Amino acid sequence: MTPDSQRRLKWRLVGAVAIAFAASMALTWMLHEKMTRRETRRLFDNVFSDVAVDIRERVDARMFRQAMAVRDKFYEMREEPWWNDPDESSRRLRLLADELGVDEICIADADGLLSHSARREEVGALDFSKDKGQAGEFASLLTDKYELSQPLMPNSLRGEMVKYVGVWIPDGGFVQVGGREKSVRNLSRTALTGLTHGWHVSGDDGGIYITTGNGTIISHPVAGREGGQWCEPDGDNYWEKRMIEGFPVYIVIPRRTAIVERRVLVTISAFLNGMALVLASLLVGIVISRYVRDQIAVRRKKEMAMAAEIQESSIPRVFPPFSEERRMDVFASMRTARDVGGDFYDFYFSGPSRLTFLVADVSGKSVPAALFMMRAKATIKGAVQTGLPLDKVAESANDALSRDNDASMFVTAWIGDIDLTNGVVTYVNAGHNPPILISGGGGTRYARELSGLMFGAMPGMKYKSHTLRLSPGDALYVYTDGITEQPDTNGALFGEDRLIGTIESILATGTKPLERDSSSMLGAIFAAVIAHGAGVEQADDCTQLVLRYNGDAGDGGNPA
Amino acid sequence: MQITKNTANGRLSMALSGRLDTNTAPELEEELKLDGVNEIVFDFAELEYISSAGLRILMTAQKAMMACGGKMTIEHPNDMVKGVFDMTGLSTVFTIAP
Repeated sequence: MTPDSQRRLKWRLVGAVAIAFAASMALTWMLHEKMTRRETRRLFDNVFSDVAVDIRERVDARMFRQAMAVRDKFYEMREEPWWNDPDESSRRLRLLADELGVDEICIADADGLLSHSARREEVGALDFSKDKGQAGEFASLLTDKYELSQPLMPNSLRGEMVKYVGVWIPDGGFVQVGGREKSVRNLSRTALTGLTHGWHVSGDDGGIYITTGNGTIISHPVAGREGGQWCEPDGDNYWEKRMIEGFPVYIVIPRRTAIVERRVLVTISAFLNGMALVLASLLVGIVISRYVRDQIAVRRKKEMAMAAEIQESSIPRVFPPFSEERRMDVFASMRTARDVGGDFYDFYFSGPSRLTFLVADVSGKSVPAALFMMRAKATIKGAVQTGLPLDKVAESANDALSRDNDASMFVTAWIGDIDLTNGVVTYVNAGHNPPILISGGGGTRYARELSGLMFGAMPGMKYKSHTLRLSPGDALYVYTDGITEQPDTNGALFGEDRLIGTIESILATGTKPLERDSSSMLGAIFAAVIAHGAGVEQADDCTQLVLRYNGDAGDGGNPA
Repeated sequence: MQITKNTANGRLSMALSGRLDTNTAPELEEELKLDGVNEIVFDFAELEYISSAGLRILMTAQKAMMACGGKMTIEHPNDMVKGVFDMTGLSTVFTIAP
C-alpha cells in the first residue's frame, strides 16, 4: 500500500462517514419537523376541544338567561286576551326578541306543536315531536329535560345557521330562543372576556386568542391586552384558526417551544441511528471495494510491466550484437501493442560461420501468449542446437509445441540461417509472413514459398526448407503481421503492397537498410505503419528484423 | 462481426460476416458449441478479415472434428482469408471449398 493511496483511502472513509452523518442529520431534521407538526396538530385538537367546552358553557349561559326571560314574560302574556291571536302574539314576540337581542322566539305547546312564534308564518308550521332533524331534539323538553342547547347549526325550517336553546314550561310545552352568529356574538362577547388568560399551551409562550367577527381580540393570553386587533402570526409560529360558537378562535405556539413526546423522539432517533449505520456501512463498503479494485488494478499493472520486462529481456536487445563480426549486420525491433505481447525475434550463432535468425508470432495476447512465446523460443533454440538440418529442426519444434498444448496456442515463425562464407540463406516458413529481399543494387521482392503449418497446431507435420542467396550488400527484412495488418480508420489494412512501397521509398531517400550505428529503416517503417493507423489503436505487436550480408570479407561487396 | 448459426442432426453450419480478430474471436468461441456435432460447415463468404486469434479457434474446431471422426469444411473464403490460410500452411490442413 503506497502512502499516497493510503491517504486517499483515509479521505474517502472520512468523506463516507461525513456524508452518512450529514444525510442522517438531514433526515433527523425532516422527520423531527414532520413529527412536530403532527404532534402540534394533535395538541391543537385537544386544546380546541377544551376551549370549545368553556366557550360553549358561557355562551349557553347567556342564551339560557334570554330563554328564561322569555318564559317569565310568557306567564304574563298567556293571560292576555290577544294571546290566541296569532298576528298580535307574533308582533309582541317580535318586539320582545328585539329587546332581548335574539332573532327567534318560539313557544311549543304540551304536544310539541309550534304554537307561538316571533315569525308569524311559522305558527303551526312545525311539530317538534315529529321532526327528525335539528328541531326534533327539543322534543326531549316535553318529557325528560329542563333545558337544552345546540351549537350553531342549520335549522329545520329554513336551513339557516342558528343557535337554539330551550327551557321547559313546567305545566307543558317549552320556550325556545334562537340567535344567528352575529346575535350570539353580541350577546356573549362580554362573557368570554379574559376566558383564556394564563391558559398556557405548550410551555409559557403558546396561547389562545378569541376574536370577534371583525378581528377584535376579546380574550388574550395576557391579561389586559384585550381590544387589540388580531393579526396573523409570522413563520416562527405554528397556529390554527377554528370557529367556535361563531367566534374565530386562534391557537398560536412558537415553533421553538413545540414539543414532541419522548416516545416519538426515541422512535425517531432509533430509526435514524439504524439508517445512519446502514448508510455508513454501505458507503464504507463501496469505498473499500473501490480501493481494493484499484489496488488490484495497480498490482496487475505492475505485474504486467514486470512480465513485459522479463519477456523483453529474454530477447537480444544490444545492437550491434557482435562487435567483432563484420560479415553481417543485424538489427531488430519489437513494439508490443499491449503490456505483454506474443511476438519475438531471436538470433544466435549456430556454427562458426552460421547465424540462425528468426521472427515469430504467437496467437492470442497477454499472459497466455507471453508464456507460450517463452516456451516456443526455448523449444526452437533447443531444436536448432541439435545441429539437425532446418527442416528437421522445424518438425521437431512443431512436434514439441503441439504436445501438451491444450490451449491450442500456436506460433508462426520464419527461421533462417545464413552461411557467412557465401551468403546462402536456408530457411523454413511455419505459417509466417513472407520476408522481403532487398537487393544491394536496388530492387525489392517478397521471398514467397509455399509455407508449412504454423508450429503447435498439429503434430507430425512435414516442413520443407528453401534457400536463397544474398550477395554482399543484400539484406533480408523479416516482420510479423502487426506491420501488414494495421488497419486505418476505414478498416483498410497497411498490407504487403504498401509495405514494399514504403521500403522502396525509404531506400530511395538514400537511407541504407542497415547502418552500423542506426536503425533508421525499421524506425521509418514503423512510423509509416503508425501514420497509416492514425486514430486507431495499434492492432498488434509489430516486430521487424533486418539482416545485411557484407560478404565474407566484411566489406559489403565494395573492397577498398 | 455477426454470426448466423444453425444446427441439425449433428451438422453445425455457421455463417460469419465482418472481422474475426482478437476482439471478436471470443464471441465465436462462445457460439461454437461442439457437443454432439460431427460436421461443421463455415460459410466465410461475408468474412472480411481473419487474425491469428480466429485461426486458433478454427484449429481447435478442426482438432475436435478429427478427434471424433467428423469433418470440417470452410466455404467461400475471400482472397484475403484464403491468403492467410495459404501463408500459415492451414490450406493443407483445412478442407476448403471455393
